[in-house]
Amino acid sequence: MEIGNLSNLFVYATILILLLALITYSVALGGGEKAPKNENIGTAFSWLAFAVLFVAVVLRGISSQRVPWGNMYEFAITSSLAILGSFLFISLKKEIKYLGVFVILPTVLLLGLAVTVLYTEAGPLVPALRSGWLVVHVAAAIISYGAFSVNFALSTIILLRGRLIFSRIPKSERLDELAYRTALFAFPIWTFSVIAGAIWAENAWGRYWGWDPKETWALITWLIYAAYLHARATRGWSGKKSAAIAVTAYASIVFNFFGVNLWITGLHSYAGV
Amino acid sequence: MTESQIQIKLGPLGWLRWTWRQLTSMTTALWLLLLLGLAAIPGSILPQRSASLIRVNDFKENNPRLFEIYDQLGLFDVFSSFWFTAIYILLMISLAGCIVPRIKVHTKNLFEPIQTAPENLESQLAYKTFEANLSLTEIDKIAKKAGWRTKLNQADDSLTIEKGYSRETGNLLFHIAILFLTIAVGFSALLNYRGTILLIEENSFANTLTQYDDFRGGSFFNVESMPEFSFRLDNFEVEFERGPNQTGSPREFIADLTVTEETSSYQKTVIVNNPLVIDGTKAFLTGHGYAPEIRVYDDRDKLVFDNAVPFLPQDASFSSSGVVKIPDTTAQLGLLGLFLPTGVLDPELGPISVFPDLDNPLIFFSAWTGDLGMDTGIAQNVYRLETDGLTQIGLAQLAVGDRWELENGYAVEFVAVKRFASFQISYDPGRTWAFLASILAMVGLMYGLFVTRRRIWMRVILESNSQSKIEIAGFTKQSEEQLNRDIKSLINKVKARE
Ligand code: HEM
Repeated sequence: MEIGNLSNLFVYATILILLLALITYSVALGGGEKAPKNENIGTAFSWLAFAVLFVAVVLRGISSQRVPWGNMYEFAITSSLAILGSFLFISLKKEIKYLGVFVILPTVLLLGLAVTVLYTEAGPLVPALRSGWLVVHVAAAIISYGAFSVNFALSTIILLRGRLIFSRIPKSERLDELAYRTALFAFPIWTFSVIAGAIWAENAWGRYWGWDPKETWALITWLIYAAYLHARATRGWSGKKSAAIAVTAYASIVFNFFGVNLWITGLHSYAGV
Repeated sequence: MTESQIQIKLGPLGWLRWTWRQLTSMTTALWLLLLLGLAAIPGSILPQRSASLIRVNDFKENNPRLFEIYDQLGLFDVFSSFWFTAIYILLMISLAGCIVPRIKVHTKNLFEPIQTAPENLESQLAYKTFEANLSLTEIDKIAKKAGWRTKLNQADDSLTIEKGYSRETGNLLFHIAILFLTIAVGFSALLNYRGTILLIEENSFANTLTQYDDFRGGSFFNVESMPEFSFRLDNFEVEFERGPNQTGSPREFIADLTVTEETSSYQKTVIVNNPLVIDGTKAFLTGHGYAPEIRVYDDRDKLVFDNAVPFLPQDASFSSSGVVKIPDTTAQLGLLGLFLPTGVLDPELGPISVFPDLDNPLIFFSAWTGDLGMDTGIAQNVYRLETDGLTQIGLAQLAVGDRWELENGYAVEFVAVKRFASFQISYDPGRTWAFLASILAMVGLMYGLFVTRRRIWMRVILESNSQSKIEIAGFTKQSEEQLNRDIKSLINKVKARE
């Protein structure tokens, strides 16, 4: 079997495993005696999914003979890997298994869209994308997206708190603190990604900043997360207000990926769909 | 006191001070950040003049009414509109007004002695007690060695140690760098220039204003300061994907140039991501296309036109459109052309190109006569032929080498195909400063984010001849884990010395 097809098979397998994780995490959210056990099973499934998706991403890279983030499909599967990775990495240190549903659900949706709408055969890159800066610029973006996704899951729960009551979910202050930490980690990486992008744009198009839609939305995301970090240090803004800003910031990331790539024309047309 | 009462009491100076305090408050900064993000959105959705005049004009043609309103609001020049500028200038003022006092406070803190321990440690974070047979003076030395700033207070037998000042230093550095970045970008916008040229193989470009197809200089840009150089496009190579995946995607563009500066002349290869750099001016390869060589003979078989004419690509397969205008004849002649690098005649779609490389170059021409308006002196778009008022006198499909006899005795020949390359040439004096400022911002950010500012207090509460019982606690606004780790490591160090 061709390596590219093998990679696809692993992506499908990941989706299946993640669905299993989603079910067990959902059951656990309901609470009850078995909840901790179910959460552990969910996490085991998530680790398995992470491993399988990792193989899929590596195989994709091998079959196209370059880093596996050159078009929307590859960006989507690699970002999914980063989201799972961030979640699992944090869960090694902190008790955040209760987040399972809120992390796995968006990941499954993203992978689902990847294999249906965004799918592109493996192949080499167009010349404008062939640059060392692609590797660092996009890699940084993907890593920060992973952490921002966990921040999004936490912020969503903070907003839902009071409306939905899950016994497994800790106090708001703890969620708040944790959400802040994830954003604190992701923000400098995102900043770096934007700077690296500007350097690359300078090399490729002769200007480091041209208000291309993609660039503009990267800045919008940056500004909203800066506002979020400020909110955390401003009296009267922690809790739900901060969480609302964080969710808005995440929405701008999602728009930058789907809206800008598929709907708005700009120089960054790498969708490949 | 109600709000109106406060207002009565404020004099003009009071008002000024009040406004200043509001402007430089964290809440205002937060709102301005969000507002700036919001204000940028229309600029990403509506076409912008600075990016694409053509798309702005398209919008005008499709929605003339809406265009008027939007244009009044500056929605086609969002990033230079007064409201966008106002928001970011307010943000910068707020930023400056915020960091100046913080710098003062921080420098004072750096040089001032540390506060002594509060009376009640039990109510502080990470409180615990431990036994040690070292005196506080000795513990003080250990802490100093581990890089803590310390203050020993003999009066109440207490020790205060602090670490993590670089957090605030980093945070300030970050904010200052952002301010500088904005200033660098702003100045650059006043002094820079940027232009585009289209160069056909074997032709040359000299860096003077008239040779640009499109040119924008900042308000303070001085034409005389443009460096003198020229370059010739000796050869331009393109390679497209021929495999089954992503067929037709570009794989390689290579432009071979001969560059001439004042005294020297040399060869230079320019590819995407690797510009030609002269004196801070950079020439970037940004696009390419085809320029068919066309000859036109008049009714006495005299050669009246002999040129490679650039045709602008319309799609990924490089179907390109172009125009040939021949003014100096009794009845002016205009040719409207569609060039197809790999042309086929599709039964449904008509003439289309199926591949971007020159596998089967074809031109479809329609010929028009009448008054082309070329004698009016009004500058004309060379890529456009207004056919209103003209008469069509023929249609033809030409391959390379074909000659087409028109009914008015003229003849058109498709001789060969050349390639052209487009370059963006830009000069941006703020580039380096902006780059440096962003590196500083990055450094400041790392310090500001990953350093924990923390303070630990120790006090002897029970003293016997050799053992003393010491209580220890601390304070931090950031990472309590870090605080716990520090306390643990401190106690371990003390124990190790016993
Ligand atoms: C262009 C405008 C601004 C940007 C992009 C920005 C960005 C940031 C970011 C990313 C942080 C978090 C990093 C850190 O904690 O070290 C931060 C923190 C901070 N900013 Fe700003 N800022 C801006 C303007 C301002 C203004 C106008 C003020 C004053 C009102 C301000 C005051 C602060 C303070 C006090 C902190 C520390 C918060 C803490 O301790 O967590 N900033 N800023």
